[in-house]
Amino acid sequence: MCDEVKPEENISRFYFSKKDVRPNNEIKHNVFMPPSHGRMSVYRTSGLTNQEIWEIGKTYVEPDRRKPIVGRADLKAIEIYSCELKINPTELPHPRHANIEGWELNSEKDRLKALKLAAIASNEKTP
Amino acid sequence: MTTATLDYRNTAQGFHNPFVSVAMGVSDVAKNLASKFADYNSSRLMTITGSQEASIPSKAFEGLLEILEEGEKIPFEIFSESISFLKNLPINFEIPDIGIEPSGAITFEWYKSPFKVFVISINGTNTLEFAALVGRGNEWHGKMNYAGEMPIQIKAALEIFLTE
Repeated sequence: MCDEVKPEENISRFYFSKKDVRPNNEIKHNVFMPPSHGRMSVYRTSGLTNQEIWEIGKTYVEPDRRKPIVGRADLKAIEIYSCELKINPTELPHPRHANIEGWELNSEKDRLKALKLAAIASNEKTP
Repeated sequence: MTTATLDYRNTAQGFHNPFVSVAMGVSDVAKNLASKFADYNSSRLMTITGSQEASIPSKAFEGLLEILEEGEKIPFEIFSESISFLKNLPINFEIPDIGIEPSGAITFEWYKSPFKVFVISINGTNTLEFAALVGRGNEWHGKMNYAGEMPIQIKAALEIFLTE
């Protein structure tokens, strides 16, 4: 994968709680709230089939979280950049892995960014 | 699972508050609930739930239970502040949807559309944090001390949001 994440790339974030989705199937901001270490795990999923994306989740994400994936939030990298956040490729545990970074770790402002990302993201439930 | 379906805030008549049953240890929920707190303290739980003067909207209570049932460990301070917050929610406000953030903070969400959302967060430190999208380009956020009653500034912002 290219080192730089291009604005038009698809980004997917897996989530693990039914409470992260509204009854109308929209994503809640909780999916995009950063962990305390400030590195939010995502995958670069442009060019992958739906099934290939789920396989990444099953193989590389579920074992790490020790919880079943409930669904995933998909959005374009440009939406993340527009919130003044960065996407840093890590290539581990998978060549398509990256972290969203640049959070202020000031929860009110980060919550606002999370609300915006959730408003734009589309929701895919596990098959 | 609780089976309560009423919004107790609007009933002057007698009611069965499911959380009081939990505190007294007489319901099925009680048998499982204690082990799900990160730092359970039965006497403090009695303190926050023992009064039947104020009650918790059952939909909100069920939301908290669902989080626990998914295996989340909620620190007791966060849980007790959340109960207090719900008990003191003005009766003219809609009941919020409840969620949990990666930090363990409990969130209360009022939703109108993807770009019209108001979220209050409780993290167990006697503060309320709020963030809201109020239509594209309009954003509010802030943090205030919390001592049992919703600060007037947050209350006013939420009233504006709900009535717009």
